[in-house]
Amino acid sequence: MLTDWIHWLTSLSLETHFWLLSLLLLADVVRYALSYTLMAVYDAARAFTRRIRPNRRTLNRPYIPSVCVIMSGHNEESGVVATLASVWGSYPNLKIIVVDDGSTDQTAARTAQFTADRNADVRLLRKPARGGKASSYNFAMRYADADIVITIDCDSTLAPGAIYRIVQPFRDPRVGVVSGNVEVRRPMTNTLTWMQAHEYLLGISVGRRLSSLLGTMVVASGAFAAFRREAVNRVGGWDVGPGEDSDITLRLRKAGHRIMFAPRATCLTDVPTTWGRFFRQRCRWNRSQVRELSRKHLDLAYPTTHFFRWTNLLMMVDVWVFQVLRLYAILLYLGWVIIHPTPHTWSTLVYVYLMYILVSAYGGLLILGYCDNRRKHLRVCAACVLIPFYHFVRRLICAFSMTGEVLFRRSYHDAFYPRRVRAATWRW
Amino acid sequence: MSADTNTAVPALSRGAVADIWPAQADGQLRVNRRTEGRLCSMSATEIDLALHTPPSRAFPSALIGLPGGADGRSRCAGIEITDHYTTDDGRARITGRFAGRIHDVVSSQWLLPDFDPTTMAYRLPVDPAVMRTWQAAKIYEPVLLDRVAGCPRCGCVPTFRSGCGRCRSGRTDPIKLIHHYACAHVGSVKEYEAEGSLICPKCRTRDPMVGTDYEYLTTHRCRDCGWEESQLASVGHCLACDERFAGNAAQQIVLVGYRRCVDRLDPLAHVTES
Ligand SMILES: [Zn+2]
Ligand SMILES: [Zn+2]
Ligand SMILES: [Zn+2]
Repeated sequence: MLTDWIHWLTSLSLETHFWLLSLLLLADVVRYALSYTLMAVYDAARAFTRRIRPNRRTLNRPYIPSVCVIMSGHNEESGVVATLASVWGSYPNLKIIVVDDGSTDQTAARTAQFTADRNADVRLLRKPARGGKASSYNFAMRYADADIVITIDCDSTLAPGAIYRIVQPFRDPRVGVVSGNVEVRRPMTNTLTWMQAHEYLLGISVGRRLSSLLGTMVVASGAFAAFRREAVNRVGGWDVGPGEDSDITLRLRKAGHRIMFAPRATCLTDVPTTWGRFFRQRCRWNRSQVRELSRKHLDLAYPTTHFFRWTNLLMMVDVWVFQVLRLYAILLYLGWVIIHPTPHTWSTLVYVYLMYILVSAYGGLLILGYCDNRRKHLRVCAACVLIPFYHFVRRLICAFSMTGEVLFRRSYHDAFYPRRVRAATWRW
Repeated sequence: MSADTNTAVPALSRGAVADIWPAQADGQLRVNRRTEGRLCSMSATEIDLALHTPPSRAFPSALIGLPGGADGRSRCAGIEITDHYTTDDGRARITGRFAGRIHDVVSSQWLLPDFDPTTMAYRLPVDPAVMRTWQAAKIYEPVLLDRVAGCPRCGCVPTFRSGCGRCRSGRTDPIKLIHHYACAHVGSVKEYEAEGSLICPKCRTRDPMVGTDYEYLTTHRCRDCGWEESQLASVGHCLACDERFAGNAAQQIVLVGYRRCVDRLDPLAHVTES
């Protein structure tokens, strides 16, 4: 059987190879493998020149703006103390605001206990009923009297030095938002978390380096993001989500601010451990992405607006071509393969899958090239054999939720925000 | 000496072995100098005991235990020593009077702490250091009565109030905020009030309806330091030493009473014997 397959493979013409792998070559190889490689070469060259000719001006002047961390949690008693413990004391004169978003558990009590035990500068705000992340953050913003405001999810913990590193890009006054590097806290819990860990490492730790370099960052993940307070206040704070993190990123982009990525400011977060929860999370993300980029903030791509910049257009094209178009192309390709069965259908699929594994393995090399802790990440990179399968499932979910959002605007029915807020807010 | 006919109070025969705990005038027992003696004679007011071993030092008072209590335990009484002397056959003898501090203490079944409003503290009728010696002699046993909050500095009973979590002032005002659901803006009612009606400062929505369009959030602002938080903290204030402290910093004061665990020797019951 194997010899048959190899025989079939060697009999293919170059042109057939190209057609079979067209999607892989056009999308994954060009957009990801090739561009990441170019970036890696560029970064290596820059690191080399910096080593032989260090920039003394930036080295000698520490930049330590005042920072306020805001956290919002609904029934987060299990995680809030660990998050506070990783934040408190990790930066000079840090202020923390915890918004208890209508919890019915011990979230507020645990926070108060932590404050008393550590004598920490924590302000506890409570909402009588759950009102959603956006209003929690806006509530907290009233009291955030610092230059930089950082949002952290209650199910995440910061690695040492993360706050210092995430505020460094704000030296540049044009920078409005900085995204932290979000990694999976317990990647080896099960196969699903293992695969997500790989996705996060390649998509965020490596991928956002490139989008930060090109100025095409779409979102600073709410799990760990830093904002210039003035800028947030000027755009009126957070809007009702879901997807309030990408929404505010895009609104700050419209206001002319730069979005950066701080690759060494690491935050470890919990990811869904069951397929059901994974499905719901991804549906929420995809739906809000459709809402933000195809309706609410579609004008980012209009060249006639006063806030038009080429990077905005590039970002939109990137999302539309390499996420939406590619998604439907893959589905069409697969549909075509299924409705035109040939004796070589299985051989074709195995061949394509193997090539995808090859690309994932190359992604693993890039991850290892960029990370600090190679031993830890090597185990995650070993997930590359499953990654093509994972991305396929992820795309099916994506297709389902995106189509649902385009046709039925399902994001307005997401229980992530309570019913009374969903009923009152505007529909884009 | 004839046998006692009273069944409630078993007879005390001459020569009964007595436990003797020498004590100081303040009532503190010398537990490790406990000695034994024999009963020579006893009246309603006085007792005469022959000691087995002569004491190294004279003592002003003593607690004595004589057999005949419930469950075969001894019965106790306190005496003031009126005389230390040595008989012709060289035995040390003491004569005591049923009176004094020890006698007073042992006559009560319960020793309970009392709240003293002038010092704002609970106080036992007997010094706790003295009480420990009584406990060591197994005359009294401690009984847990209650746990109360006490000033972390002086242990007195403080007063409590809801106050500012920062400066612990009790002078706070509630602040009403409006959360506009549609745009997620949170601002004080004053920010919303304009042109005689409610207008959201973020999205300019006019006259929203409470419940369907917005909700109230409340915080408390301190008049002294300006700190604002959703919940007031529990703040303690000690009226004895004027200390202000966080409610959970109060020390826990364990109120312990003492119960006498042996019977009391009633010398009057033996009046007929003398
Ligand atoms: Zn509004
Ligand atoms: Zn105050
Ligand atoms: Zn005191």
